[in-house]
Amino acid sequence: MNNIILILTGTLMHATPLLFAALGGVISESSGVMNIALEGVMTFGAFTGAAVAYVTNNAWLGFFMAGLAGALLISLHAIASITFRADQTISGTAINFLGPGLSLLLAKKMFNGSALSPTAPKLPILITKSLTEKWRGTPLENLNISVGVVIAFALVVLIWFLFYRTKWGLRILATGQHPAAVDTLGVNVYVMRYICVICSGVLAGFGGAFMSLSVTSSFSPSTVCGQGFIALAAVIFGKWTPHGVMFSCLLFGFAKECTTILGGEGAFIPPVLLEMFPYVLTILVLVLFVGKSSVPKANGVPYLRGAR
Amino acid sequence: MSKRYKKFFSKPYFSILFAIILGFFVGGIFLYCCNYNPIASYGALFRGAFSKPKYILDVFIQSTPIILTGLSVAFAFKSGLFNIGAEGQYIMGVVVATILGTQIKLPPVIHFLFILFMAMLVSGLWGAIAGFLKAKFGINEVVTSIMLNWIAFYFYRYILFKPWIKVKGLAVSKAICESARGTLFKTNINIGFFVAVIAVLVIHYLLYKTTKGFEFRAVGQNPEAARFVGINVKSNTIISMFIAGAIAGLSGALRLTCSEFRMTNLAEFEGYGLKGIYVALVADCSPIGCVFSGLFFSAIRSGSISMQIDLKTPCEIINIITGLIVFFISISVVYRRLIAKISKTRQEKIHE
Repeated sequence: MNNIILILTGTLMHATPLLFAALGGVISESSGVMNIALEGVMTFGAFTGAAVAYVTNNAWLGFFMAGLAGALLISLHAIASITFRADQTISGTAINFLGPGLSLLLAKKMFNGSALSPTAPKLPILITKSLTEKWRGTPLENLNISVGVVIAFALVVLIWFLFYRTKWGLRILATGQHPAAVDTLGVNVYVMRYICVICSGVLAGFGGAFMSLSVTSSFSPSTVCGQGFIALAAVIFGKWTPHGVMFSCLLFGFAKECTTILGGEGAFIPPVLLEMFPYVLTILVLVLFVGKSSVPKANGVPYLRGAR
Repeated sequence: MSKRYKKFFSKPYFSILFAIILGFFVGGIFLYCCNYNPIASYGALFRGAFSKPKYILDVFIQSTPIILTGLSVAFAFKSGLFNIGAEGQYIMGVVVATILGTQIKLPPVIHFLFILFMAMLVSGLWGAIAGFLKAKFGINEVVTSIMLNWIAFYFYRYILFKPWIKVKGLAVSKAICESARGTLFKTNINIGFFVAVIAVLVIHYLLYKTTKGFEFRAVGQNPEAARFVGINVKSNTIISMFIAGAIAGLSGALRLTCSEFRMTNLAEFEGYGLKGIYVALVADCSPIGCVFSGLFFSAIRSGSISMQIDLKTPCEIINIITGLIVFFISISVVYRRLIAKISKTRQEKIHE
């Protein structure tokens, strides 16, 4: 029982930062803007979160400022890819260099030449101290879930509702499938895409901040360490749907947790090899279950009004 | 605007040059805002890269791996694939070179060439996995390549800690034999750069002078049309990922045999694959352009280190400038269009 709780907590911890970023990816790619920039935005979010939380001593302020910082950074990608119709892979790649570069430069400026931030306050955990006291001795006392986890899963529900039950969601999805048709019905494709890309920046910023304010409690250059790219994989793997993305992030989080649990002392597989497991699993699952991926048709295609 | 000027300004290298200037300019504004002196910093950057023959030599040595990973990415771009997996293919090249360099005995030149060949083969197959999965199951090569990067990364660490290759008590591998090295006259001058240039020329020939190269480019430009004229898109995808992987593997093998000689413990990716992406983009995906853009990035990279030592300007500014350059390249359509517009209105005025 105790083990199950531990695995559950670990899985949720590993899955949540990915889930934030991957939901961002879903929103932006559903509207037709490819978002390879998640990694850079997450890094910038992780830095902003830790820095603001450290300076103001308020984790929540750090978390929300990280979202704002993500929005600011990704708006460059939005301008390039929507207004200037740039190649979205290239402008996304640019953000992936700018994000870490800016974070490290500012970190060195703020923390006297060190790329590591001092310890920042963490986001609160869901179960308060008094409850943990009450559950002492039972397996539930290890139920150590951050509030951020709850926010991420609430966002899944929210985005699902937005996409499949509201007019706005329909417009977003249609913009990603056939922007010209949407345009003829009086919806401004550019505005829709701007909103979606900026939302994705906010979410990826949250994802980064969750890393630096909940999983760890400081920023270092290796805080994000490729998770943005894994989130990108989760978007494709989850077939561009909020619920699909949730399951793929959970699967990845579970695989990651397995490596920690199975990699203990006396494991019969070398721990280093075991660390490959989440990545091998992702490829295998893609081969076995996904097949032809269902990309939004206009994903990555710049829209020019009046072009045929 | 006279015809000659117009021709000059509409060339791709003009917009790239313009993007580089803009990148440094905006980067300078950044430095200024952070209380660093941009002009002095750029001066130190330039001196750190070119002021002594030793520095210039270093620029050439350091450029070898990124020219090749850039070539790998550029070649894949030309065939319509995004090889974000150059990092993992590079790592496989390093691993193969270390194993063969420490474990087997061969005569000098043959040993070196054998290592390069095997590294290219293994890394090529590593790259071809992503190509195969794309061709056979339609899985996006970006995702599989990223996963393969991580698998290669952990494989590297797995091999490094094997008792037959590790130095006792240290987290480094044994050094490779003398016979496997690509250095000349026992100095750090090495033939890596020349091998890289040969590889660039071979790829240039392949892409622009052979039927196969035409097929690759046709698939890259328009896979539907390519399929329609009877080009096998699937097998071309696999082959071009193989070639891209082989080039990145060559990069890793050369880095190891020519300047590193041993595997060291890595906490995170060295980033040569990612650097390859911007090398390729600044070269406008032309193989020969990769040599110049590789040298350019190698120069600002080694200059940035002395800039940090001399003036305490953080060398991360280089990442920001690089990001800005790539960003300005991505919107280069805008200034091309602007130039076209300006020259058009000028012409109209003349006609009036």
